[in-house]
Amino acid sequence: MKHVPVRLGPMALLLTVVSICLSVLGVLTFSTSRADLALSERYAKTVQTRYHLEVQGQEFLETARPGESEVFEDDDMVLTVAVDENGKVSQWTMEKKWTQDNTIDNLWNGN
Amino acid sequence: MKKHITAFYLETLALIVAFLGVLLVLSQVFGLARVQSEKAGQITAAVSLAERAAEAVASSGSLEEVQRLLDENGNTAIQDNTLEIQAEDLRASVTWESEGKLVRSHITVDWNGSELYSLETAAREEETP
Repeated sequence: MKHVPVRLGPMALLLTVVSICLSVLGVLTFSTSRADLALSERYAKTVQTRYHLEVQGQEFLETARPGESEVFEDDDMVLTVAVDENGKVSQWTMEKKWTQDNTIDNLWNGN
Repeated sequence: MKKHITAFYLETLALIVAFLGVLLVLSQVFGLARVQSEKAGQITAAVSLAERAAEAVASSGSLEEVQRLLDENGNTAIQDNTLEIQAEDLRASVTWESEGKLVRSHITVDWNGSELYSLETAAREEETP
């Protein structure tokens, strides 16, 4: 019995191209939605950290004596609270911890 | 001739089956992406609502004041020293615990009965000059 080879026709090529395009679209859609979810979770965590530091700062102010200051850290955020000699809040700074990137030295001194 | 026609039908059938398989997998991928997107939107809305409530607590002297700040068309109610806020599919609960000058508040945001987000905050009553 003579074996008849099955050859790929134009329809096969078309469906292959369509499948590849749809697959790429699917991968992009999934990665975008994954990035959205990761960003929203990071935002939620940051807000929780901020208000946790707020609680610690307010508790410190309840018992702080004039001239005292305290630094609170949580995750990568730092809260610095200071009370002046009159018992008023003189500093309330909340910032993210970061280290300067010094991999490129003396790129431009500004003059 | 008959063998060529049979081969053509077999090829077409195989292509259709393969294409259906690809479509099946991709529909799962698109569905999962949609679920993740919706969850991201819910989390963002919950965090935004909790933040608003926390800022209202920080700038108020009582739970009633917090209610006045957050109320929109009567979507708030106070029950057992807890302020309930209804915002579309989200429901937030804001507690008010006074410890002298310090006020502690626990804010939880639910979506369809399950807790989505929670926040602890505190505020001090400032002395008026």
